[in-house]
Amino acid sequence: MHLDDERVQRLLHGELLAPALAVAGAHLAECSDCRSRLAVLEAEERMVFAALKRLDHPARPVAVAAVIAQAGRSAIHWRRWAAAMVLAVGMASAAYAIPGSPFRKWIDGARPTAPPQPAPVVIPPEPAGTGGIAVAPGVRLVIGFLQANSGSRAVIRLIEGSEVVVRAPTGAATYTSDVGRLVIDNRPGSAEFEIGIPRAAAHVEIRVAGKTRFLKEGSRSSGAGPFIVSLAQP
Amino acid sequence: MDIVLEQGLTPIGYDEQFTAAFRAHFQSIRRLVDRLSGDPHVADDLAQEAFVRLYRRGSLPESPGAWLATVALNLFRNSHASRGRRLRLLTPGAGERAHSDQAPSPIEQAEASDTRDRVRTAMDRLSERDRGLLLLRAEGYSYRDLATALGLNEASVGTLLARAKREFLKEYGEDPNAS
Repeated sequence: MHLDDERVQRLLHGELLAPALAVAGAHLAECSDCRSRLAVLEAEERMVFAALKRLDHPARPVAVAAVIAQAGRSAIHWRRWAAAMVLAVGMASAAYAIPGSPFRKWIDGARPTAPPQPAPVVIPPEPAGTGGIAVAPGVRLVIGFLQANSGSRAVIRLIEGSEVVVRAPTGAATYTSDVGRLVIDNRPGSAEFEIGIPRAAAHVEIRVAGKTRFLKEGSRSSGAGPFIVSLAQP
Repeated sequence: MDIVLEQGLTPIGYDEQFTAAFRAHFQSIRRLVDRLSGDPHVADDLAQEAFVRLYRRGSLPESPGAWLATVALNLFRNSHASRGRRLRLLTPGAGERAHSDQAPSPIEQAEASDTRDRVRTAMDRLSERDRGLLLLRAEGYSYRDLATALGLNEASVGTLLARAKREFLKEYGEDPNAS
């Protein structure tokens, strides 16, 4: 078996270790093909390296002291730059810390502000007898009464409209509406709420103090209407 | 504790080691970049920069030649990319005119220029790896140094080197000594 490129090259460059060198040498002694291949590769290498010499330009003498001096200048330059940056950051921090400084206003003005979040809709309490809210039920709406009040109740009807309508003809309340949620902050005392739920509403749930008292899901509801839900503590 | 010099936070004694490394490797590194770039000014700048970085390192690496070659190749790659420098394929080196002491005849000049352009063209057609292999080996770097500088498996350096030489000769087209 003849020597491969790797071994011939290593042989040529003295890169074969002793055991492999002995084996290659023994093979070369017997194999004229590999001997001539080695000679050809050697000639080719001389040709390549001679060609590369054609690319050379005369070199300018460079003193090692000049390189060391340049390295020193570079190091000093870098340290100066770092010191200047530290100084600049320190001065900027001090300027920002001064109350009412224009720099502080400029920085605060340039700071990106978060996009405004949609605020929950808060309906202020209405005079008794006139309060109410209408909201779209969406795919799911939870109506929550914050307080359980003895003597209070909700009368629920299924209606043909598209919005859930809540009225408090005999009591005042504060309504807070968010996506999928209507919170009724009902005040202590007896009151009656009228709630109209669209027949087409997918999911409307009424909770009193966190507990579910009424559920309409799809075409199914928890009973026949009108429905009376007590807002008292169970 | 190391005593430090005022210039560059470098341990005393390192200057002597650095000077020895400079004398051993500067011309080789400069020639490497010169052959790679075709521009003696680039070669001067980048070879010097490689040694500046070696000095600032504060200690010699295990193989200073391989370290310097790696740094010089990286510097060339970066400067080549950032400044749009390209191998000067068909233009005679500006540095040759600047540094030559003798004044060759117009015919000699034309022949030398033609040969150099052919070598440059052949080199330019090689892959970056093959160029690096040929140039580093021509400077006498060991297979281990070649593998380190070019990120190759040392066990296959010989094979790759053989391919690179064949590729160069194919691109070069004829015996360079004939012209």
